[in-house]
Amino acid sequence: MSDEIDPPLLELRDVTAAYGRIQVLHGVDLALNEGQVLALLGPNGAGKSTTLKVAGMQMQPTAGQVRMAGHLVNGQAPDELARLGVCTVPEGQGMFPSLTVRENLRMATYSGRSLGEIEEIAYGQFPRLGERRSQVAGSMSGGEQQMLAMARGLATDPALLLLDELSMGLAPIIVEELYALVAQIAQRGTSILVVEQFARTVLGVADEAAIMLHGKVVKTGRPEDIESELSDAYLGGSGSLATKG
Amino acid sequence: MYDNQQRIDEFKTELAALRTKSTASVTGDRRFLVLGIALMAVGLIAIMLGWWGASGTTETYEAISYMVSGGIMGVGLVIIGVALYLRYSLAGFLKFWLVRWVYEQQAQTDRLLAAMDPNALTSDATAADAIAAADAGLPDPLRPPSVPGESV
Repeated sequence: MSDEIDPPLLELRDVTAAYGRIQVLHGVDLALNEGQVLALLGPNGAGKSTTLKVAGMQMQPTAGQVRMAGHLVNGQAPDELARLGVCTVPEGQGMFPSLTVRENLRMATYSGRSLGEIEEIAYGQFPRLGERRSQVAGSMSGGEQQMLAMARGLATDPALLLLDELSMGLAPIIVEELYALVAQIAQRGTSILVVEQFARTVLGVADEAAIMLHGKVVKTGRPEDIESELSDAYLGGSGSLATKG
Repeated sequence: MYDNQQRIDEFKTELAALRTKSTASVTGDRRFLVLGIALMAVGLIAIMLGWWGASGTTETYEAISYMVSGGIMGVGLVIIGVALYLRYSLAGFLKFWLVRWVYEQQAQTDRLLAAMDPNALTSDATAADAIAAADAGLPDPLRPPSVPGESV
């Protein structure tokens, strides 16, 4: 009999990070629980993508702690975390444009699954990719490229999914389609941290949301509470956001 | 309880088995690089001490003792140091080189695809231009330039 509360699946504690001498994160605190979707919002240059890179250990923090399920993962190699089940879908359709859809999916076989299994999962979730399996990825539409990037990530059966600017350059209808899938994935128990500049759609599927400004999380809360604060954040009126909620 | 609860539990178990590194910013590569330099320096000092000791005695057994403890050990340390230094300095260089090579390959493939795309090739050329060029005995603007050795 145990009433212990599980630690968050992903937790950032007072994390700072820098590009050379330029510090971009100034003490970020975030917590993502099992099966939750956490939307990290904020204007361009707020440090959202850097936070995502630090969470996936693609960038080492200069101070602070990154914990997964309570375990400190500072200093771990990103490929090691990827093998365990941390999947990053990077900004700008992270796939190999010169390879075909099938060849791109082959890249996900590092997870130990066969290409056949990966194709089955990918084409099951995105039938359109099945129709274009022999097409060079760079010649597909932006939405299809994003689907391919997501399919490759999902085929590895991740426990933690890190999504960077899923909506970038895509038509609103495609964005809605992709976020509907994000909601489905979260329902199965996968925890998702999603970074977005354009917030409306992601707030519809998020369980929690946080606003970042100038390298700090200035507000966290339920999506409906965060929505009202967004214009302040995006228009630079950080007066009401000066203290963390 | 989620559909893929088993996967999440696996993830937690594997995380627990991860060996956590104590610091965030100091990488293993850099530590070995410094160790390599230190071993080279210690090895050279040991060789010099061995030579100094051996040259200061006329007794053969003492000279051999200096050569063994100073010279051979020193050479061994220098070899290990050089190996570590090369391994960890070259690894960084090769990683950079590999990324550069992948990038170049991708750019080359993009250029090839662009060259093979008839729309890109003929964006400004029309069929009329092609006929006019043929009449004048000039190369056809709708055709890619022929490859040397290609049969016409």
